[in-house]
Amino acid sequence: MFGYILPDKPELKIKEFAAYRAVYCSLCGALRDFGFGAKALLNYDFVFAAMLMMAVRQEDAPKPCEGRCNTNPLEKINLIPQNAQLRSCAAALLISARYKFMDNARDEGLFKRIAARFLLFALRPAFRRAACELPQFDRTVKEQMDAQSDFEKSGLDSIDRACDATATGLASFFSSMSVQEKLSCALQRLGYLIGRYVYLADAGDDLAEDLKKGRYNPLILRFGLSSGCSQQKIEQAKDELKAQLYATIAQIETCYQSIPLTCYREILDNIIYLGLYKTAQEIGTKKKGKSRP
Amino acid sequence: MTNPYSALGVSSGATDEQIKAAYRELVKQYSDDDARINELNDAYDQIMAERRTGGQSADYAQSAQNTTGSGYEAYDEAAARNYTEIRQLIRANDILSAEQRLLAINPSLRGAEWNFLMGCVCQSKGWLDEAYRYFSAANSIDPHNSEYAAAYNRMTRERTTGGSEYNPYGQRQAGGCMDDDACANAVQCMCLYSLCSNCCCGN
Repeated sequence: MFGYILPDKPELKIKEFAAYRAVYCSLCGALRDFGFGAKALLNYDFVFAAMLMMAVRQEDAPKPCEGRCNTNPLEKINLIPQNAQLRSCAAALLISARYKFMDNARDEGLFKRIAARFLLFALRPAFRRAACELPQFDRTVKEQMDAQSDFEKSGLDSIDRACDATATGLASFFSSMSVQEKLSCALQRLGYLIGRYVYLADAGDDLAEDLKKGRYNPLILRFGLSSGCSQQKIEQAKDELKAQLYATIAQIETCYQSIPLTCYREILDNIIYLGLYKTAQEIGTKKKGKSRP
Repeated sequence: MTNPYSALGVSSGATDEQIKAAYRELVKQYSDDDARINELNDAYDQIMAERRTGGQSADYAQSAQNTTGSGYEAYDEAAARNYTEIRQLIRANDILSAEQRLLAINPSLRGAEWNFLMGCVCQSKGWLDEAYRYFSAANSIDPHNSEYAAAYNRMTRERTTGGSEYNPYGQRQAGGCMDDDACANAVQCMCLYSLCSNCCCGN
């Protein structure tokens, strides 16, 4: 469930895209510090988190510097100097990825199960270091994963409860971005809503496949769908999902407006006001693992 | 009550898209006339609200007669005081206590206000699906209460537009605020804007 928090690239200025790219590449660098192979998990959601965290924590925008690409050392790229925010976001990314793999290793088909087991094994050192970096977040995500699997077994049809675990996990990471109480409270709400958005978007993208394979999906329960039900009913459920995503975006916007930012405002604005909306419109129309920027 | 469809100049069989287009066109046309804009907003909200809840385009003259008195709720003083305290808890952002107090109320006594406050609690928690259902219940039990209607209409609009169309990128005040006081105020009431729809937050 990664890759939903994206900018709307055509609306970015070239210098803004360059700044976005520099954070992306620097987050990749921060991941590499956690261990071999960790950078393969790099995703856009945590680029957003890193930019937001720097905008909340730092006095000024980090000065870009030149460097070389991790993957292709022949390529010169723009980077920003490594800092504590990039490191925390890299750790949070690894922790979320780890629990996602653990979930896959339990629920998915044979091939994906084996792949998830392999990754959990191969990336073990990186995961361990990430858990040492953010022990509190690691604990919260673990608890929430357990709560989620209990909930899925309960057969309740509440969408809000289904989103709660992912949302609470992300809320705990976002709230740690600031030490000021009021700001931390606003960030917590923002994290919760973004977690909700990501979970819903992911459920929407998985809907067709989950229906076919008879797997758990909160939308199936909420809208009483089944593999044999009419296309019209599925379309209705998708429209309703879109309404839910829009309502979430509206709340995200209100919450985001209350957070003072020192840098990267244009890019963060783009992601919040345009990117989320665009992603919501694309749900279910594209193959998963989209890569917009 | 006038027919909201005629206010927008569309037929009751028009699609959502057609209604939206007509609404936008009229808003552009009457952008200087506040009273007219309010009328258009009300008509649009009403149509969208009806369509969301699956209501049909009713005979408006008749429905206006029928609804007189249907929103009546028997209040005794203790219940009213209880609700006032719950509102204070929600304003103070003590959502957990507010929810407990609401759930402690006997299900047979849960009226429009109970549903509305439950909606506020859910909205504060980020449980937007349930929040919408509670607001919609509050609004249909007591359609003449402007507080419930405002919360319900606002959420209906958010669900159709994602908030983005009403605040187009570039025209809206860019995100983030640099003023500490404004920030503190906004944080305090951002979850509660249904409770205080006219206060500092929003626009």
